[in-house]
Amino acid sequence: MLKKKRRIGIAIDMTPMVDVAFLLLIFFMLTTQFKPPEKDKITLPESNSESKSPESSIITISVTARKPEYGNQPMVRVTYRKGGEEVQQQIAPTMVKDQMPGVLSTARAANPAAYMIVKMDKDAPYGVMADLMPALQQAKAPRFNVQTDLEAKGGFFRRPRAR
Amino acid sequence: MGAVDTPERKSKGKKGKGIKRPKRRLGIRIDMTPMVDVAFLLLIFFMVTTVFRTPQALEINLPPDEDVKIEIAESKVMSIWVVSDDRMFWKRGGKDVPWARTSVTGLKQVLAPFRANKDLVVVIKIDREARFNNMVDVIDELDGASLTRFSLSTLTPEERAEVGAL
Repeated sequence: MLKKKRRIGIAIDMTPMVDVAFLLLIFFMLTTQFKPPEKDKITLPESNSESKSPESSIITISVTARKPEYGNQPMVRVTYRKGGEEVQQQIAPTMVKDQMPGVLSTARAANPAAYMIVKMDKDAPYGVMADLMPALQQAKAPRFNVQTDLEAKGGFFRRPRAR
Repeated sequence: MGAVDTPERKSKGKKGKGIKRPKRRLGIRIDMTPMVDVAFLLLIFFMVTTVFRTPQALEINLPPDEDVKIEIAESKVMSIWVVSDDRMFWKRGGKDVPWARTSVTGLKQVLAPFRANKDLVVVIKIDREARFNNMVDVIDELDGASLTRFSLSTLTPEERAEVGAL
């Protein structure tokens, strides 16, 4: 009787593994939410700054560009956390000088060690910033971060600028 | 490598006659390994190279007290003024020095000779109606030239008139 040739090597059926991999891939693709929708789109100015903006323990002061819905004026909002809840206060740009120190003091009382983040649209008028700076000084928060986007030029592998 | 087994073709009209043929194979088998290899390779490549766009920050430290007056010799002062239509002017020195027009891109050349100059104090004045972008651009250029001492203020109407006509 002829002996059957012995088989060498093993064959593993990859199909279930691929099935699982694709299932996971599709699951994460569908469930990932990239950014919570924002109330007003803020286009950040671009800079070459290398330091990252802090993301937790922050008090955010956001300033939009001039918007038709706000009577062709920018809108200023202060967002901070108080007792585990997010508090947001709106301030008209003309009232920044008067109201901002008080609002910022309250925000700082709730988060004494928080970083001040100014998230300002690149097309917002500079006057808002000019009013904001004395308010920050009055609220004893002279140190703040201006949020920017990384400068687009430079391509995929951006070379860090020589300092 | 990928092998596709096609079912053997049966010749017509010989059904049930003669020698028994080997059982017809049904279905095809494709080796998935190279496809999976490529898929995972791409997945890993994009996972490793992806950089999420996290916002950067320019840190600004204001003097703690509001009303601090510092006397500086005029010759050490460099003024950069920005008017509302994004036009930028600069000069170094006092009133008798004429203004020179510049721009965000031109500022790099303007600042190059003063790189890391500790004595220089930069006075930035920006019109209230000018875009905020101007402030970030100017500070960014100063940062690039290692000039970290600067003052920020707004243009008075007289100052606006002074450079507005240029």
